[in-house]
Amino acid sequence: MATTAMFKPPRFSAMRVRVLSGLSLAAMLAGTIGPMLLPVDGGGGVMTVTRVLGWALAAAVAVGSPGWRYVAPGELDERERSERARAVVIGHRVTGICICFAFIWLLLATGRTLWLPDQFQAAWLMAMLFWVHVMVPGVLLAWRGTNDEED
Amino acid sequence: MTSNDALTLHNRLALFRAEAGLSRKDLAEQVGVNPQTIGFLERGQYGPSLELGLKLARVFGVPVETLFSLEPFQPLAASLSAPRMMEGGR
Repeated sequence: MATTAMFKPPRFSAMRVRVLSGLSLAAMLAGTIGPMLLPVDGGGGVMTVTRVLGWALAAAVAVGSPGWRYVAPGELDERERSERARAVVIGHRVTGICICFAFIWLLLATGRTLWLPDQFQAAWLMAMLFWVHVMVPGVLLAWRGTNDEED
Repeated sequence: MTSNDALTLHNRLALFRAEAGLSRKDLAEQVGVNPQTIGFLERGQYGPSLELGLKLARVFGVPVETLFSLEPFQPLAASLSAPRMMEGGR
């Protein structure tokens, strides 16, 4: 009988998750918020590459840490499971608050002179929110956990 | 034993582990957890489940209440000196 190789996701160290998530956030902020604040073409090659780099790093964090992604039974011990559950709940709340603020802003801005993003800017903001949502549990776990335990 | 945020569980895990000459990694392997979890337990940052508490007690061959307590343990120096003081007082 043929056996299929199960995909085993990598397990990044806490330090690697911290560094990658920091770089990802910086790239996403530069590529998404930058063009809204500075006279830079957001649809240009440099900004597009910056955004995509941020998304790719966020995807790496999501796959490499047991935060948002599926976790196989037995992959985490009881403390890690409880911390992961806590981190996912916090991430859920953070995203919920962001969506709530966006909704309130949209309500207030409609028919007024408040700033609203255009179609592309809205898409970039939505993408950033999604990737931040995906990263937050892993980042919380990385900052909560100690990197290397000494005896 | 719970893993809630307001921990009131005290333990002598570090003491027993040092006496047994076990590293955190060794102990973690014996009870099936991440070595970091042993560190969290020793620092009192995590309260183990009943199952994990019993497993840890089994490793050291002691009752679980020898390892864990709801009341703070007496400092080692005080518990060692107490019998001597009693002997000296006789």
